[in-house]
Amino acid sequence: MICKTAIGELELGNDDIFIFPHGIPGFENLTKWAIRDSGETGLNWLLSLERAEIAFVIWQVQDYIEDYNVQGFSLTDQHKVYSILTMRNQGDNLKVTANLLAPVIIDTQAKRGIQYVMTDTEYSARTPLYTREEK
Amino acid sequence: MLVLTRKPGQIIRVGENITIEVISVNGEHVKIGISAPRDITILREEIYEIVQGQNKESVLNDSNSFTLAEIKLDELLKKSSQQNNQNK
Repeated sequence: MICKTAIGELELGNDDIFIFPHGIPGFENLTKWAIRDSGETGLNWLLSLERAEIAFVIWQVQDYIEDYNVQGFSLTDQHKVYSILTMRNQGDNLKVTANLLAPVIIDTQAKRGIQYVMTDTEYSARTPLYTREEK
Repeated sequence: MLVLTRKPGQIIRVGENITIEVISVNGEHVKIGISAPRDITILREEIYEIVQGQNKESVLNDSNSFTLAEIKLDELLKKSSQQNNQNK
């Protein structure tokens, strides 16, 4: 089906669409989302199918942080773990942080998703990844 | 809001399968034990608010920033994978 999203109209199949029964914090009423690979970067888009202007960049965190531990959640092979990235432009600088405190966990079989907030963890919602300074 | 007075060791039952026990009171600090099914999310409210705020800040609402983000993050990931390789 063709869906309107923040990155344009996309042809989406059932494999691309995930139901988040409780939405995500701050967007509790948005339950229908698509995940799209953004190309060669290994980054993905998390796109609301109910409010087309809402989109996040998510990052398959375990590819980069091997010992990332989602404490309190029983992960299986059918789960994928993503971290929502925050990008802030400060003048000419781009600062990127990852929310390791509250990973987005996708069940690829059940086609469901959750943003799981860890309770007792050292992980931060604003883990710095990158600051680039341009001249 | 229902307000109940409890002493340490006393329990409040919520629905069929949630119990909340006041374990101890020490000055300003109240230690609470909660038993609930695994699918019930239990969080300190301020942590939930942090994630709410972070999500709102993370929405990309400018179409130019999508392309920008992709270019910049491509560099980031190349850089971080190089660092990982060096560390190994």
